[in-house]
Amino acid sequence: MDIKPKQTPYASPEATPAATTVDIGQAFSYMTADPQWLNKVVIMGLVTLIPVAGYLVVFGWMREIFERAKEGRQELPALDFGTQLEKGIAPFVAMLGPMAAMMIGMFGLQLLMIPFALLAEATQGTAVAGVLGALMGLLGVLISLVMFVAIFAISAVVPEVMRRGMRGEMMPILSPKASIVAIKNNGGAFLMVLVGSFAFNMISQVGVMLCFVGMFVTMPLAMVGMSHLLAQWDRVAGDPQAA
Amino acid sequence: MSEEKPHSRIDINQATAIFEDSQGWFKSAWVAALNALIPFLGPVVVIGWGRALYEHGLTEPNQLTEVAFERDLNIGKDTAPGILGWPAALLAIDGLRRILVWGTGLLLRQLTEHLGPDLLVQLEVLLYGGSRLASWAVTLLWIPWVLLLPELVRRVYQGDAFPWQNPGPSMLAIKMNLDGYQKVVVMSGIVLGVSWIVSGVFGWLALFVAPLAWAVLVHLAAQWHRVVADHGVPGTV
Repeated sequence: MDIKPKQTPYASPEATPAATTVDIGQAFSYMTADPQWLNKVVIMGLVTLIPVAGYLVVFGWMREIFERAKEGRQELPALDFGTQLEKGIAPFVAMLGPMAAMMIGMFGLQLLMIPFALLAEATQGTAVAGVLGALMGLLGVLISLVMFVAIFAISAVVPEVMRRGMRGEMMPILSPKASIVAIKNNGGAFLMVLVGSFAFNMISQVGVMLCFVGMFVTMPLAMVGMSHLLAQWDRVAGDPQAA
Repeated sequence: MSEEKPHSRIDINQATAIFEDSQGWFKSAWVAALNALIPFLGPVVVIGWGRALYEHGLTEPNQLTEVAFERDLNIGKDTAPGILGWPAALLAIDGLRRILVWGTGLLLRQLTEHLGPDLLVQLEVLLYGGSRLASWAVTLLWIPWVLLLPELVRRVYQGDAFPWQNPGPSMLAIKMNLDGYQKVVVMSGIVLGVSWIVSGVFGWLALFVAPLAWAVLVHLAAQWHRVVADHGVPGTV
């Protein structure tokens, strides 16, 4: 059965009166707005079982939801393997970017420590070694601090990276200015996105408690809500290219 | 819209019907599972057994034949390299990574006295971090195999031992029957994923589940061949 596109205020970020807010409630309502939501969500849950490639397809499905939500359409896309596999590449690669950057950053910091460690070893038993030891201790604390901040920052910017990935950008990490400006100018709205993504993450995990199998419903369902939330955030944040 | 011929349809129910309709399927699956236990030769025998299942899938869809060790080993010798070559290479790369990490870690710990504990910690962080990155890269390399598995099985069991060397006919077959291929990839991918999860969670159960999953997957590949053959793709036997 074809569901005709329907404009509903709760389903359409474009139709939201205030263009500077993100409404988590709308994203929650959107999850079950399509009369066939359960079928579609269960099918996507099964698709996540496909090793590795399944996640690309699910990312593509999320991207289609993102696009539809922006157009104000409430029907969820059905599985279209080839198209969604292709569409999923951009958000998938976009999400890998920050993780790779963090790993490379960590490597860089560790490499920085090696000359100090070598020097400390060479000057063992002298006063220099004591100074170097203290310096290394300080550097170690600094690195731990930087890593902690980096992990926190990356977790916080995941929704923004995801939004840009949904727009088809593969390397948003290389042009962070647009994201920084968007978040800086719409801090309140972005905070709501973070709260919402935390809530959807919780929903996603609920299925694990339901004999693990429930995850195949709760995980894609949370993705639906998350995609709508990102569509709302996209309306607030605007076009990164313009920024 | 033209009606699909019933026998040229990708149908998971038909693929799982081998467990409902064939007599003694449980015994056949157990015999396959026991054969799979044989070191090195086991997977080869199961792949060879798959060819008999594939042929049944083409003609008598609801048969789950028993393993015939000698026959299946002979068939498996010719067919296993084409199907298992890619994953075997990936497993070998991953195994090499683990050995390198383990060996280097051991060496580093033995050199602790010369290197000093500070340097040791830095080098270990680099080693295990690099190992994790390499593991991610290898994981991504599974994607082509998962996506091409039904076509790979079809061509290998049709007599083309190394389809990787000549991807043209596969691309044509997939291009001309994209809908059918998407269905078969989704179904075979789910079957593969379920068997991996069951194996991961219940270890020993993998012995029984893997041959069953392989039987379903092979049946799906046979259905896929019927779809391809019905559309008269050049090069289809």
